[in-house]
Amino acid sequence: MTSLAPAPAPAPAAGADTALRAARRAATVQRKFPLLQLLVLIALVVFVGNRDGDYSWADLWAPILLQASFLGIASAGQTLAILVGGLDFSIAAYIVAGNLLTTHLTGLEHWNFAFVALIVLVICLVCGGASGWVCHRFKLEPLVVTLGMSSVVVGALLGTDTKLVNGAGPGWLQNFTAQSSDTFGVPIPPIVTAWIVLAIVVTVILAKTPLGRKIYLAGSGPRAADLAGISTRRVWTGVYASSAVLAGLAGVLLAGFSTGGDTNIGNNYLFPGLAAVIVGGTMMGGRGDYLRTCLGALIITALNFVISVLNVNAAAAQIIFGGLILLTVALYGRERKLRDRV
Amino acid sequence: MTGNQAPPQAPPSALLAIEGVTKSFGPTVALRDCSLELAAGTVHALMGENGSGKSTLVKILSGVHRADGGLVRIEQVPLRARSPRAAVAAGIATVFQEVQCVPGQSVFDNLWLGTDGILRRSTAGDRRARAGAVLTELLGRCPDLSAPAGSLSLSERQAVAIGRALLRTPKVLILDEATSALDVATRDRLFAAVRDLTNAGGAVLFISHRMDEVTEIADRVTVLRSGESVAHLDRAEARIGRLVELMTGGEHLVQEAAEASESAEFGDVALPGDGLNLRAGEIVGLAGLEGQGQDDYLRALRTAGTAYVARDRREESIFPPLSIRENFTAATLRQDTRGGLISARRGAARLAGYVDALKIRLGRDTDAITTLSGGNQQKVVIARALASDPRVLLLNDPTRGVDIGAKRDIYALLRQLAADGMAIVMLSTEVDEHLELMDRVLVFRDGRPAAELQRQDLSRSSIVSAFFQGQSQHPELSERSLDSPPQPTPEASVRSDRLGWLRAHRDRAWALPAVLAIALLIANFSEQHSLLSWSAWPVTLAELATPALLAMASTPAILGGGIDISVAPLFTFASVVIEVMLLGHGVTSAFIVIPVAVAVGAAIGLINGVLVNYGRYQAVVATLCMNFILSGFALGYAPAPVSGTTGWLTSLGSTVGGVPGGLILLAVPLLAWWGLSRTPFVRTLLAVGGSETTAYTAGVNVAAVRTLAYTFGGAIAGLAGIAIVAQLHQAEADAGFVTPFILMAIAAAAIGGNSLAGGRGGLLGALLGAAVIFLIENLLGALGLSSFWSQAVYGATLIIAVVFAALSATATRRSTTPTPTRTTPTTTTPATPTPATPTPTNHRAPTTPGTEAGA
Repeated sequence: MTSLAPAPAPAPAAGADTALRAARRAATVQRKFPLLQLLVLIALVVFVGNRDGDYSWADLWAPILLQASFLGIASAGQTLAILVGGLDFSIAAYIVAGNLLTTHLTGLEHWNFAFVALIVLVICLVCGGASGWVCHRFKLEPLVVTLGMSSVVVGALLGTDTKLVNGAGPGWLQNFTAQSSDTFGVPIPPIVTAWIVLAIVVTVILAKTPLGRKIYLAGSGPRAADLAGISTRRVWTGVYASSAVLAGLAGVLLAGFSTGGDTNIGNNYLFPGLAAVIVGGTMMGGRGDYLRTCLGALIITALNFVISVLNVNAAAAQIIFGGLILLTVALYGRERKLRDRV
Repeated sequence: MTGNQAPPQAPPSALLAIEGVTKSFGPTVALRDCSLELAAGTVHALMGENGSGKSTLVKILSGVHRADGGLVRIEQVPLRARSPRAAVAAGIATVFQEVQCVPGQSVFDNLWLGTDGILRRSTAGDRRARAGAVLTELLGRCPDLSAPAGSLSLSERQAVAIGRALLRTPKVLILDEATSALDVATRDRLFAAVRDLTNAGGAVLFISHRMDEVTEIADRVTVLRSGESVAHLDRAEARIGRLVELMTGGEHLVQEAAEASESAEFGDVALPGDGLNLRAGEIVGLAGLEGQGQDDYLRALRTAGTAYVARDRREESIFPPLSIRENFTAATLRQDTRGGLISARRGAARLAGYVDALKIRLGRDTDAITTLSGGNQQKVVIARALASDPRVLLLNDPTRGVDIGAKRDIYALLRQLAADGMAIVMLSTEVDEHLELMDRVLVFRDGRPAAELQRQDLSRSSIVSAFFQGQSQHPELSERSLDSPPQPTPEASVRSDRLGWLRAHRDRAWALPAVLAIALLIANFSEQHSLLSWSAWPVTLAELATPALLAMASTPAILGGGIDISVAPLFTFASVVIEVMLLGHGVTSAFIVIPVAVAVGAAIGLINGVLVNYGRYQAVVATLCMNFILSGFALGYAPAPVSGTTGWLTSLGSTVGGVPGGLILLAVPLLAWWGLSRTPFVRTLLAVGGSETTAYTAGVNVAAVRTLAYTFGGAIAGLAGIAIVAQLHQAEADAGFVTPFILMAIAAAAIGGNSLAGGRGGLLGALLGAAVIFLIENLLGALGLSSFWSQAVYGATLIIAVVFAALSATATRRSTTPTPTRTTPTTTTPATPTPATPTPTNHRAPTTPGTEAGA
């Protein structure tokens, strides 16, 4: 008596139907593979190359890769935070911490770099880990806790030694981050190599290790993860600690670029870093990966180049950023309707 | 027994006529042909199994969904309800099974939620009196109308939801399993109220799975099966046996049970439990009406060596974005890990074994789990549980929303597992499952097992009567056992005393930051006597104005459950507009500059609101984009700081006619907010932030309310643009200048007692929070510490403030919520602290308990 087959859906108008099907298929592909982002990136790079008529390594690819590597490293942590279902607004602070401690202690006071790096590591681990733990334990909004922690870190650091702003990166670090340098003879700037290595490591960890898998599980189904025996608290603590460490790393590397510590240096990477993750297509709660973020970082960097090539000012760049993110998110990142959540 | 009150002569006219309604969600057909005639003056019951389409029909009638086909007419006028608000306006009020309540608001506000427009109050007579009357009618006595609704018991909260519906004087009242949260006495009073409604000419659509309630109250009964209305019966014909037969399409033949182990050899006790003494090879069923304690009992059995399959598949079992294989291996990653890396091949191999054993129908195991039907998803979840090789398997209503074929497979699996020695405890809301599978069944009543039935005594009537036993036969007994609220344990009452002061302060969310601010003011004064001198006030207030205005600007969006991280670039943009476009072009009149700045802010706030609430962008994403766009525009017009001021503007930075300009600037939004709180807007906004679904189903236009909040916040940010120009006599768009303001604004809002999840707080709190931050900075400066330390201190203050708020919220909740906690099988998504994952709507095939093949 009862039929189990679903009723055939009423056939819509033919033209609308094919267009709808095509759009739906594109969306499915897009979810698995960042096709759109790749196309956008290629379009942007080609545009820049065309404008200058110069596709050479030194003038096109290397600069883009170089700048993108900083943004990419800085937004690695944000990727993890978003995957686990939160946000990290303290990235700027850890970048500043890494940057200032390196430029001042190593550059000016000539401390041992490894020792300074250790200090940065400890600060990031402790503060980042504490943020994640507090968020999970008290069920707080990560936005607020990371905001608070960023104030604490920068304030305490600079309050301890206001002279931290003086200094410059050690010479070898400057070489490391210079475009003209090469990695063991291969004409790729060491910083770019470092980024590639990081990308590989992070991707492998996320895709292939239990640690990475637990991040996806805790982000996409927090209650289910708890019931499956995963300690989501440990995952959150670890993710935010890692995010802090990666941001600190970016700050340390930036010391090679900057002369004199800049307390605002982090701000240039917080929101653009968030944008890189969003444009790449990683979404809150278990969808996405670091490679997408790398793609996003490249897109944003390429966009910067387009803007400078077009002699468009930084202001317009910002506007275009905002519009670009709105557009990309429109395709796959919006909420369900309220009626469907009842 | 209440008698039928139908009018004697004329046949009752159809108040609500439902004809051939159809509704599908994607490929799933929820309603395929539903027709019903609801006569005025009658109570009409709607019955059906899981997945029969009842809740879909209710959602269509209450305006949540639109029917695909068919017609609904109320008093012969076609009903085209596009939203709950429209449905209520048409005369249909609905009470849902999931108690719709805004815990943070008063009982009074909860009762009248949705009655008013956004800014206009509707006339409704003496609201207090009517509220008191309706609650007295339902509860026998009226609770404190100004107490927060969250302090009421579950039954009382449901009574409030019912009262809300009744206060709208509906023509049709729909009660969708609304009695499951009520205690017996309240339910009886509800039935009396229902009778009053029908006597006055209204009609009631009553959905319940409780036969005794249906036989008591219903004049007519309609049975739904698989989306079709298959029968309409009068009260006299509606006997339990007939109804069950119609709902299931024939008595279920318990075929395999006969062969099953009557002389089963059970092994050792695998799980002692609380007198459960579960033996290896046994299948024990937990039965009972909704919320009688079986759920907590089952969860309490979880220990080492047990595997648990949760009830709410979507929220508690699956990982929606992940693949089938990833879902399967979630609890047993270690088994696939070699040398630190997960071997995909091993996971696939293990899964393949279960795919065969459970007959899981899937494409590739790398497909998303959401591509599977509900039944197959459940099989994967069960496979995951089995993969950890447990001694005991605990299942919480595992076949809910599962199609008949998958159900059969799961039954076969469970029998096989039991035969192989696994001990199984299964909570089920379907009597047939108990008949088919269980070796013994524990029937729960009042929070504990009230009856234990062995296999040989199992029958539909024995189980079902154990649900109801003692209720209709002995009303005094049942009243005593079910009506009195559970006595609070001694510890709980002590805890509630200690937390009484906490609870009291919670109602005035800004009390704590006020205390903090005063303390800081005193501390500041003791360090810096000049602070409170008359001449210092204008400067102090001018400095305070901008951050405080920004804190206030970000608050309305937060109150509604969203966030606005573009307030800082917005105020910068406004200041640029003032300096560059107005002052720079010689336009200096206050009557132009001020309205323009505020209007610019409001317009951008409106855009934000539209993006978030109509464009459905996540608030963080939308306002982040706006952040970029506004920064860009501001930088574009003012690449370097632009200076300039004019008479009145400079006065605003010091004094205007003896009054500090900063005070004026701060007073404006406060006064506006006070004005808005005289309208329904503020409390409606807080209701939306407190419980979005409650506000929506009560008839609030959620999107419009929230958008208005964003707009108002934007206007305040425009005012902040005026404040900064008044203070600094310039506009600066540099990121280094702007970004710290964003963080500070949100921190101030949080310190000021605004819950970042929404629903609690106000502008005054935000102002006080900004004052706290300002005073901390000032104090540390006066103490000779660098301003960097003040940053650290206010960061720490922020974290402590939100931790404290979270602790006090959980503490109050624990001391006021009576046990047992309820989990009800609905599709409502519970609120989570993290933003909602944008997953596709997951409507699965309804359960189709059809006849046995060939029967």
